[in-house]
Amino acid sequence: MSNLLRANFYRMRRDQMFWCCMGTVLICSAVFVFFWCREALLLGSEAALEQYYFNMVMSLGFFTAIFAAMFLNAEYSEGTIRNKLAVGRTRRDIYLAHFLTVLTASLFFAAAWLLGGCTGIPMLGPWRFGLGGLALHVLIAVGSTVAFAAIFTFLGLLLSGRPATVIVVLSWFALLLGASTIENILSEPEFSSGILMTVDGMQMINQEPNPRYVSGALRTFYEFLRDVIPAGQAIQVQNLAVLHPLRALLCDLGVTAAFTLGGLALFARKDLK
Amino acid sequence: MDYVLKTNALTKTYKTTKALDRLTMSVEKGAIYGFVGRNGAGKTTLIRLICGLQSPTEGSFTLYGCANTSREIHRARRRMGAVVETPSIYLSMTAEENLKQQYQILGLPSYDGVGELLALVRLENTGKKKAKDFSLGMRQRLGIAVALAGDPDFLILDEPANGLDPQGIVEIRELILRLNQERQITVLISSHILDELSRLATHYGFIDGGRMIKEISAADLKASCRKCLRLTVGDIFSLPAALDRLGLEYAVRSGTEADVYGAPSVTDLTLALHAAGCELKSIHEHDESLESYYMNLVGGAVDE
Repeated sequence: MSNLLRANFYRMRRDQMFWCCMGTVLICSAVFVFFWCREALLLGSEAALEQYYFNMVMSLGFFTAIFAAMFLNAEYSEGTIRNKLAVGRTRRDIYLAHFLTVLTASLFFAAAWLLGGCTGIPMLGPWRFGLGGLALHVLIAVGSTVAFAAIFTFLGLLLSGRPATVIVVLSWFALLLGASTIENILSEPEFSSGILMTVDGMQMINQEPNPRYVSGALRTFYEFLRDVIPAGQAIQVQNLAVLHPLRALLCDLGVTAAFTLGGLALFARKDLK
Repeated sequence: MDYVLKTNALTKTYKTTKALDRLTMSVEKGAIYGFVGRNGAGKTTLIRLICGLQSPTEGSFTLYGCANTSREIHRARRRMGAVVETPSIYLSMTAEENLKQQYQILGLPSYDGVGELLALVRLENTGKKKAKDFSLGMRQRLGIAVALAGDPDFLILDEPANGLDPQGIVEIRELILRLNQERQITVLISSHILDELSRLATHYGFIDGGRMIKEISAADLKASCRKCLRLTVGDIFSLPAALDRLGLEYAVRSGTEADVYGAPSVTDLTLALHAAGCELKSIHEHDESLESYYMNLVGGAVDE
C-alpha cells in the first residue's frame, strides 16, 4: 500500500484542486479572522481570539468534499484505477491509500486554517482558554475532519461517473443541514420568555413551557446524533460549546471505522469498467 | 505448451444479460492473440475479468498458472500490463509524469526506464505538454507505455486502433510487432478491425454472443482459407446453369458477383458462360479474407 500512497501523494502535489483548496482556506482564514478581530478591536469589545478563530471549522469539510470528489472521480473518469488493478494492486490497498490521501489533504487544509487564523493574534492576543482549550477544540475539529474524509472517500469510490462529484459535495451540505437542524432543536429554551413587549412597554408575564423544547430520551438521542455527525461537532467547535469531547472523539472513530470497513466491503464487490 | 492465460467456462452475467457464456480459451506464451468479435460480443468483458476489474459469475481462469480465486493472482498480474477500452492516463499530467506515477504504483526503485519507454512509444519530445493536449494516437501510445512500465511479459490491448488515423494505426501495429519480436511480450489484442488484426496476429479467437466460436492459429487459418476466382458478370441468373454444367462449387455474392472455388480452367469457364449467354465482365483470383472467414463462422454482417 505504501507504493500506492506514494503515487497518490505524487499526484496530489501536482493537483491544482488541492493547491486551490489550500490557498482558499489559508487566505479566507487569514483575511476573515483579521477583519473580525479588527472589528472587535474597533468596537472596544472584550472578545477573545477563539470566538473568531474557530469560525472556519465548518468549511474544512466543504474543502475536503471538493478535493475528495475531484481527486477520486479522476480515477474513474480517466480510467486510471484500471492501471492499479491490472498490475495486481488489491482493492483493499487501493481503497485505504485513497482514504489516507483524502485524510492527508484534509489535515493540510486544517493546518492552513490554523496558520491563517493566527492573523488575529497581534490584535486580540493569544487564545484565552489556554493551550489545553485550544488543543481540545483543534482535536475535535481534526476528528470531525477525519470522519468527513472517511465519508467522502466512501461516496467517492463507490459512486462513479460525473454525478458522483456532485453527490459528494451535496453530502456535505446535507450533513451541515442535518446538524444545523439538530442544533436549532436543541437550542430551543425550556420555557417561553417571561417578558412581553407591548405598546405600553415591557410587561412581566408568567413563563410557560416551550412546546418546541425536546426533553428526555429524545433530547439524549438528538445530542448523541449531534456528536455522531461530523458537521455537528464542527458546529460545537465553532460555538466553543463542546459538551462531550470524549464522546465526540469516539463518535469520530466509530464513523470513520464504519464507513471505511463498509467501503472496503462494498468496493471489493464493485464491478468496475 | 506454455500458456499465459487459460479460461475455463468463464461466464459473466449482468442482471439478465449474459456477456460471457462458458468461454474457454488459451493464450500461448509468445503469441499475438487476436481476439475477434463484433461489438457486444464479450471481448471487453473478458479483459475486465482478467484485469480484476470485475469478477466472473461462473467458471475460472488461470494467469501464469495462478487461478483467479487464488491469493497469488495479484502477484501474477504484476507480470501483466493492460490498456482497457480507452488509455488510462491522467490528463492533467505530462507523459513523463504519467509514467513516473505508474512507476510509483509498481514500487520501482528508480525512474531510469522512463526515458527509454517514452522513446519506445515516440513521445520523448512531448516535454511539458499535458496529456489532455495530446492527439488520440499519442494518448493511445502513452497508455501502452504506462502498461509497459512494469516490464510485463503479457500485454492486453483492447481495441488499440479505435479512433486512430491511418498513420496512428500503422504506428501502433509496428509498436506491437516490435514488443512481441524484440521483447518476447505475449499480446492479447481485441479488435473488430479484422484487416488490421490479420497483419499482426499469430493466433485467433473468434467470439460471438459471449461464446468462443473457434480458436485457430494464423498458419492454420491461412491454410483453411480457400482461394477462388471472383467473377463479375452481366446476368447473374444465367450463371448457375453454366457453373453447374461444369460441376463447380460456387457462391453468389451479389447481383453481379460470384466466387468460384477449385481450380477451373479459365478457358472452359469463359466458353461455358458464353454458351449460356452470360457476359463475363471481369475475373480475378481472390483469397478468402479473415473477414469472410469470420462472417462464415458467425454468420451475418460484421459491425465494421
